[in-house]
Formats: sequence, structure tokens, C-alpha cells
Amino acid sequence: MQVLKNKKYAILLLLPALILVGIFIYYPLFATFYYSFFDWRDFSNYKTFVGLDNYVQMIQDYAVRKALINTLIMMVCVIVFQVGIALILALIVDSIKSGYKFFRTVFFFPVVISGTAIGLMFYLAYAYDYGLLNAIITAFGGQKKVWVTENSALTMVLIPVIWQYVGFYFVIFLAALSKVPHDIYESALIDGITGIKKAVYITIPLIWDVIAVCISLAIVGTFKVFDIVYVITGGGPMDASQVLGTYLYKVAFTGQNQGYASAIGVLIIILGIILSTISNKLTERETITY
Amino acid sequence: MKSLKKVLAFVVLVAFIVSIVGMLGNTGVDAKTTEKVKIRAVTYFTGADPWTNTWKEAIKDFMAKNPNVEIVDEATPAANDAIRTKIKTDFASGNEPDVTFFFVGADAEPLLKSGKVFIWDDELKKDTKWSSNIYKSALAFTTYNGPIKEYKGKVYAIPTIGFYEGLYVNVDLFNKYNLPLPTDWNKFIKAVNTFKAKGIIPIAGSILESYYLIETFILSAGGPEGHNTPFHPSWEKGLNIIKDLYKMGAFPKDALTLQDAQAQALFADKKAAMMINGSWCVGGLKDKVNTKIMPVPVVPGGKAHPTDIIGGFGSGWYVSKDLNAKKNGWPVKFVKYITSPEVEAKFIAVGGVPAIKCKVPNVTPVAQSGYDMMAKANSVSMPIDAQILPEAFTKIRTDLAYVVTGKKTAKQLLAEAKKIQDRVKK
Repeated sequence: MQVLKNKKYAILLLLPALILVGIFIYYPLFATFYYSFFDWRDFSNYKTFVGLDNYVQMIQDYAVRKALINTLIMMVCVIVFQVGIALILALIVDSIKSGYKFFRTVFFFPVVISGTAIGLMFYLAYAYDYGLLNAIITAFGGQKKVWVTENSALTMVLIPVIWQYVGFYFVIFLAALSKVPHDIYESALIDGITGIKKAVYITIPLIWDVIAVCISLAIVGTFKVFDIVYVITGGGPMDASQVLGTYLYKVAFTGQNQGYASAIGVLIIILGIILSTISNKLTERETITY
Repeated sequence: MKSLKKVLAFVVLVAFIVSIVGMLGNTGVDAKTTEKVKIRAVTYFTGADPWTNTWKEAIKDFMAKNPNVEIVDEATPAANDAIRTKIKTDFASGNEPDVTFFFVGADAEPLLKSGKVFIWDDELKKDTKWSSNIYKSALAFTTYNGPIKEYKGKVYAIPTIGFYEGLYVNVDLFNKYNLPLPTDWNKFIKAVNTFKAKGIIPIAGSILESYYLIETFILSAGGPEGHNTPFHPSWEKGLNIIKDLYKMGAFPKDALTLQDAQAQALFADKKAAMMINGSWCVGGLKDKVNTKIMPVPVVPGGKAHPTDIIGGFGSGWYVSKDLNAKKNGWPVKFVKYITSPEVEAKFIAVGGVPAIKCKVPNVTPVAQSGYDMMAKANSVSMPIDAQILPEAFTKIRTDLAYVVTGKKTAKQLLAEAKKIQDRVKK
């Protein structure tokens, strides 16, 4: 009876959160799926059922293909560089005796700045006539350079995207590393295992479940990339840095075609679910308890 | 003692009544309408434009004159189409503001479809003291000519600040290099080549935000008839002219990613000799004396008259039909105040072209050249984005980069945009 009473309270306490999630996450999610079958423009009350037309258009749309490829490239880069650099930095900082708090603050700092501010900062740094990078080059007697071109655009937006969230994963890894018992390292030291060997054979396997979560978060996070790309390049030039988020925005708000934008939204949701499931399967290991 | 108290109470009561009556007399408010009225007004005067201070002063003055009315200023940025989303969703969901300053043309249609927009015709006829000041040519821009029967031939918004698009010229740079002003195509091309050779950007134009390049060069190529006929063959010629200029190096090196605000800065800082842009840039110019605005020259074989320009009245004051009735006509009264010659003069002193007869003090030489261009215009055409679907125009604008770099032909791009347009028509 007491247990049931406790559960009642648990359900009661969970209910507000459930209602909020339902209204702000699940309802829009299903509504997006529903709207994707309509020709719906100008946010008006008038919608025409068009079946799979928006999906057919999506298959034929070059910008969607380009955005999809760019999003996948971004995902790989984010896993390798964002999560990778964060792990390396965490391992290094964890091994030092002093300055731990300083490095933690410095590396985490970009996370607290808004994406739009970072985007603007990099846009101004890359600018040809008033840009910081060209100002530095010309100060040293060099020639000004066009930094954002069709070939370089994706790299130029990847730099701030990766830079911003390294600190986020770094802090998670640092917390995980602090929980690894010291006696394991002491035993390893007696066996002569130090440095990189210690990281590869002991530390990484011990925090693997945290790494797997970070990889999943990075994958899902890639589908949410929007503000930085939008401010720096707007997805251009010639869709060179287009990602699914920026293209959805362009179709929905500049193009005022909400039906087609909903179909792109559905693609983002489905891809996010599929890829994070695959990543969970691939990173699945037996949990080590210590 | 008791009688003294009574006398005092009587004096206080009389004083109170007199002060109330006096207050009403001073403000001119009808004693019957002392009930507080809240009017939600949505504009794009957010501070990102030059008119924000004038707007804020105007609502302050109106509230001072009418203490029973409170204007709730819900300014929303025009950037990134935020105001488009807000207004369209507000009207579709029954949350429309009492007063809305919003775009006209293609953007007005979803609002009119909702049936919630006040029709001004009766008020214009009734109050001639106010309406006789509004130019009929300006009202033509906010008169609906489309399939919605209720609004057919009716005025759905009151125009106020007009605009023009043209060629901005840094006259001092032209004088420095002994160049004649670009009044025809040969002089224009000569200027482009000379400035490029001297290390000055010939035209501060953005391919990423190429609205004004597209509109003005299509008008130059096809004349008003070609420009105002969606997907007229002359559109291809107009886009190819932009491509030719890009290949000549007429635009900034980073024109493919440059935003319009930075392009304007290049012109204002004299790093660029010319700029194709609209009247909203006048306020941001540093040199208002050595800058001149003129029509974009007619391209070789172009059908335009040398003084044909893009311009008109792209925004107007909308009122909610139901809310105006519910609030004793205060939303209409407020718009009539905002569109009075006195307030109009304050707005136009900052920038833009008046839709209402008014005396504007201290007009700068550059603004005067803009007014002259508008006054002498053989024809004034509304921009292309007011004529075709936003999605189709966005395609032309954002994919112009493919055309100027030779990755796609103008013909291909226009065919793709037309496909988008036709998809809706079916």
C-alpha cells in the first residue's frame, strides 16, 4: 500500500513534465509529420492535401542532397574532432596536478556563448574587407584572401561548430575520469603501463559508456546545427555549406513553404533516430563497474 | 466642528470634480470614452531601421493626447523574415494585432484571405480632411486586385513611407578620376573598368542578398512590361548582365557571401564607388553631400526608359476589422494620426518617400536626388518579390551565385523557379 502511495506521488510529480514535453515536443513532432503531406504556405489556414508530393520534391532537390551530404560530413568531423579533441584534452588535464580548474573554465567557456554570437564573430573574422584574418595578414605585408569560397565554406563553418562544443564533452569526460579509482592506475603503474598505453588500455575502456553517450549526443547535435552556419554563410555559396537545418529555415521562412519544410523536418527527425540507434548499437559494450 | 468637517469634505469633493473635468478639457478626450483602451501595434521599427525613434515619439505623443489609450509596441524585426512569420501566424490563428505595419502586394494576400482586414474605402470617403492628403498614386499600391472578392478594388492598407531603388554614386570619387557620372551604359562600364584598375570596388553589391541587382537589371533589360510579367524572356537577359558584371570584377571579391549591410558600409566608407540599393540606405550614409542617386542605366538592347525605376509603397497600415469595432474605432483613429501630414513629415525627414502631402524640413542633397529621381520617373514598378511566390523568388536570389559563376545558366535557373511557381498554380 505504501509502495502504491509512493508511486502515485511519483506519477503526480512526473505529470507536469510529461504534459510540457507532450505539448512542446511530441505534438509539434506529429504535427510536422501531418503537415508534410500538405501544400501549406504563408502560415495560412488553407492547406491542400498533396500526398507524397513534398517527399518526391525532396528526392529531386539538389539542395537537400547537398545539405544531407554536408550534414553527414559534419557528423563525422564532429565525432572525430569535437569528441576526440575533448577526450584528449580531458586526459591531459586529468593528468596534471595544478591548473585543473583554470583549464576546465577556459575550455568550457565557448559553450556558454550563444551560437549566433559565435557565428557573427567568425563572419567578421572571415570578411574580406573588414575581416580580422585579412587585417592580420596585411599587417604582416601579405595579400588579402577570400576565406569563404565554394571549396572552403564547409570547413570554415566546421571550425566554430567544433570549437564551440569541445568544452561541453571535455567537462563530461573530466567528470567520468575523476570517478576512475586510483588503485587501478596504481596497479597499472606497478605493471609498467603509463602514458598513451594507460589511456588506451585502461582509461578509455573504463569510461567507454560515457564516450558512447557523447558520440550519440554529437550525432543528434549535428542535426541541430543551424545558427553558426546561418550567420556565417547562410548555407552558401552555392549550397556549399548548406546543412539540413539551414535549408529547412530557408524553405519555411524565406520561401514561406511550410508544407515542404515539414517534409525536410521529418527527414531530419528520422535520420536522427536511425543514426543515433546505429551509433548506440556500434558503441555497445559490456558495462564495467568499479 | 462638525460643520467645519462637512465644509472641508465639500471643498475636497468640488476640487476633485474640477480637476477631473479640467484634465479632460486639457486633453480633449471625450468624457464618454474614458475607458482604458489597449491597442497592440506590430511594426518592424525595432531599432534596426532609421525610423524607430520617430515611431516611439509618435506613439508617446498620441498617448499624451489620448490618456485613455495605451499603445502596446510589439515591434518585430524584418530581418530573417521574423515579421512575416509573426503577422501571418497571428492573422491565421485569430491573434491579429489591432494595428499592423506590414508589407503589401503578395504578402498581403494571406491576411486578406483571413477576412480580418479592415477596408479603408468608406473611411477615406468619409474623412476627406485626412484622406485628401494621401496621394492617389500611393493608394494604388495598397488597392487589392486579385481573386478575393471582398477586397477586390478596395484599399486594405494606408501607405505611408515609400521607397525607390537606384544607383548610388560617390560623386567625389568620380570627380577624382575625371569620370562622367554613369548616366548611360558606356559611362557606367567605363567607370567600372577605371575603378577596378585603381583598386576601388566598382559596385558594392551582394550576390547573396541580390534583391536590388535582380530587380533593377531585369527592369533595365525588359522595361516595365518585361519586369512586371513573371518569367518574361527579358528576365534571362537581366540575370546575364549581373553575370557579365561579376566576371568583369565589378563586385566585391567576397560578393557571394557578403551581406547587404557590409556592402552598404563599403559604399559609405568610400571603398566602393557605386551601389545599387534602396532609399532606406540614405539614413546610413556618412557623406550626404557628395552622394547622388540616379536610375540604373539601360543595358545594351534594354527596353527600359532611362528614367524607369523600381519603387513604390511596399508597406502600409492595416487595421483589424473586428478589433476596431470592439475598441470604438481607436485603431483607425491611431492610424489616421500616424498618417497625418505632421507625423508623416517627421518620418520622411529620416528617410523614404512620402505617401502623404507634407512639408519635410532640411532635406539633404542625397535625399533630394532620390526624390528627384522618383518625381521624374517615367514609370515606377514594384519589385519582383511582390509579384511572384516568395519561394520562387528565393530560388532566383539564392541560386544567382550558380549563374554568375557559370555553374548554371540563367535560363536553367528561371526554369527551376518557374517550376516552383507553377506547382502552386495547378
